[in-house]
Amino acid sequence: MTRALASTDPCLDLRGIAVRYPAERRLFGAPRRFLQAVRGVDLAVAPGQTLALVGESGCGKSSLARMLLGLVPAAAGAAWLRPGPERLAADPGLAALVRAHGAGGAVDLAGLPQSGWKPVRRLLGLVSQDPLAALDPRQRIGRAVAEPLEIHGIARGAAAARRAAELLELVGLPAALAGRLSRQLSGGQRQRVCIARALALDPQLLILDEAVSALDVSAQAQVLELFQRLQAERGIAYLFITHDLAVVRQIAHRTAVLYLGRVVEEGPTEALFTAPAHPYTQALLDAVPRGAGTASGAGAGAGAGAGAGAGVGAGAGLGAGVGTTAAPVALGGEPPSPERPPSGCAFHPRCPRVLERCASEDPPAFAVGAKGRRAACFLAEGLS
Amino acid sequence: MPLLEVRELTLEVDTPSGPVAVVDRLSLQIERAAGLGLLGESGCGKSLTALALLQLLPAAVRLTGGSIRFDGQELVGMGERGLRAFRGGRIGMVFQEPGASLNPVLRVGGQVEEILALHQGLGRAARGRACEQLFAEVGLPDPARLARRYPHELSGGQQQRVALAIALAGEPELLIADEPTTALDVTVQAQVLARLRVLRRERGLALLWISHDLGVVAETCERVAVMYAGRIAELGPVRELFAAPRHPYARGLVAAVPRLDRREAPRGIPGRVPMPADFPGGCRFRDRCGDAHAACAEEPARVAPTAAHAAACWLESAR
Repeated sequence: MTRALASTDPCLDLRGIAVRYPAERRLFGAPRRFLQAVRGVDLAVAPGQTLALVGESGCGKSSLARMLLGLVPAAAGAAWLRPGPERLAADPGLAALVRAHGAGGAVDLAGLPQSGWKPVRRLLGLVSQDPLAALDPRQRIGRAVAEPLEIHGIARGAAAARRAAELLELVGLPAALAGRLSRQLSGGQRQRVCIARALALDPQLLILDEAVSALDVSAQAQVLELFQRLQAERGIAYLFITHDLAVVRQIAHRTAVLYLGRVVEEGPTEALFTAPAHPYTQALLDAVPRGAGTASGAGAGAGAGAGAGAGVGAGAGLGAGVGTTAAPVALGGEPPSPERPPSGCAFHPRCPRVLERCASEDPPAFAVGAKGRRAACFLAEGLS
Repeated sequence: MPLLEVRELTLEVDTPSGPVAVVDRLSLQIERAAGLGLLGESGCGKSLTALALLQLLPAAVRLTGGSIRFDGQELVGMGERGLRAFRGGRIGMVFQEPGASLNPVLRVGGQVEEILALHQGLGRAARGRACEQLFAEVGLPDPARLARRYPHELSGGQQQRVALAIALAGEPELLIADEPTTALDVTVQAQVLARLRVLRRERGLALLWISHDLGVVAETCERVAVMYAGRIAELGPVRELFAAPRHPYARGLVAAVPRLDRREAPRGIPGRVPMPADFPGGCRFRDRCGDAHAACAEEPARVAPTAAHAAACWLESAR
């Protein structure tokens, strides 16, 4: 199957998305207070590309995923999901949805009625952190993979079972495993089952929510390899949600760093890792323990983008820089609670480079260099 | 005399095909004030080894052989009463889930004071002061106020610091830490690791650090033992071992870790960790090893716990 990947239109385009939860309820009527989990997020995922969302607890990355899956409503903003023209032509249900609720060939997930979600599920899949929880313990895995095909009327009975067997092989599992129960598989194999099931409807975008975080490193490397192969073969875009920066560097084309519900920096992964523009991005990179994975002899000198792969020696650089432009920054404090966000820039109480105005003014996103890179920090003003 | 001396420790579980040693004649030792990392993937036996040191094994696991000496005293076979001086006293413990190791209905200060009363015999006023001092030492802000809080009122990072304060309250000589920072955010983890380095230096604390994370082990320990299927595959200085691993499994593990400093695809180890019932005879890694040859059907020599750097692999004898 071939698909036009040249399109530069993002397949997912978030504009000013906000997600909030009631923090304090009255017995009747509207909640007294809201917790702002996601505040005015703009992000775009290009077809066939990977956007990583990174951040710590409470940064809003999971709320964003839940909103995209229709599990929580968006309080503001638009989330445009854009199926390609081929997809629209092939799927009358989707075409009808775009006509009724969309504009410009895209559909707004933020304003979607309940009935609109079923066609959307064919475009947008999820692989979550815990494959054991995502699979029914009493269901044979062949059935688990075939089920979405039947729900969406794509195949039934023997045809669905055949397709499920193909999908298992596609993710590197022997089709003979179809008769097993999830508990009879290893963690890595279970996650492959979840991936096969997510692929059943031929999605154009997969949300990978900490999808390799629970796996041992050797299994993790295999599943990352699988994600990359599937992307190359099928042109799937990924929204890769994780706290693991090393994984991000290996898999993501672009990276967005979230802090307390806002995007503080977004840009091409290599640029962001080699020269972080936001102090929080730098602090995150500096906080990663330096083991063999960063045994770079020239780590501290790799300030420019091109230097990242140079001069890797025999572990002399344990504890050396990761290619950031300033000296390592050790953060004090903990991520604040979204229930009580600090004034001004949410990061200012922990920021090692805080300015006076940061306590009162929330910095907008400033352009940094080329390729649409941006950072929400006054220090980035004028870096463009 | 080493502070901790484990010799030929064997832990067995029953499988449909009979008992299997999930920790198989494992030997290791830790000198006073030294740090040893025990590194491995799920099911390698690292956590069971830690639990066995204080005889806290789950019912399904039996200690069937070996010796565990702490400061010269044999712990295997010692009664519950005798072990009390070691558990939470001379040997402190911190686990992965701080929430699970704290009592949810007691104020955290009281939980620290309990240990101070038990192991140091301090009176009420002295306990309160010592508790605040410990909280300050582990980097908790506003110790007096925090001591009156319940565990659920604290963040994960604060809970783990309280767990660390409890472990330190018994004035331990050895701290056993089983993935204590895995559940923490990375910036908070960095703070806890930094605190721990200071504490080790100031208190001369020895450390047994159980982890699957090479980076964390490199930041906490001077030496590391890589475990696979219940045995030590390789033992050596952390930096040297990570820079130039000698055992094929250790090499695979290092190559599988995604790198932060450059874009280079991590390589997985083919196959998967076998279930205990399926451990092969001879070298337990041989089914997955790219360097396996006929000799591997026999078990290679064990890593001597006193070795500077050694691997349990037939390729070692060719070095």
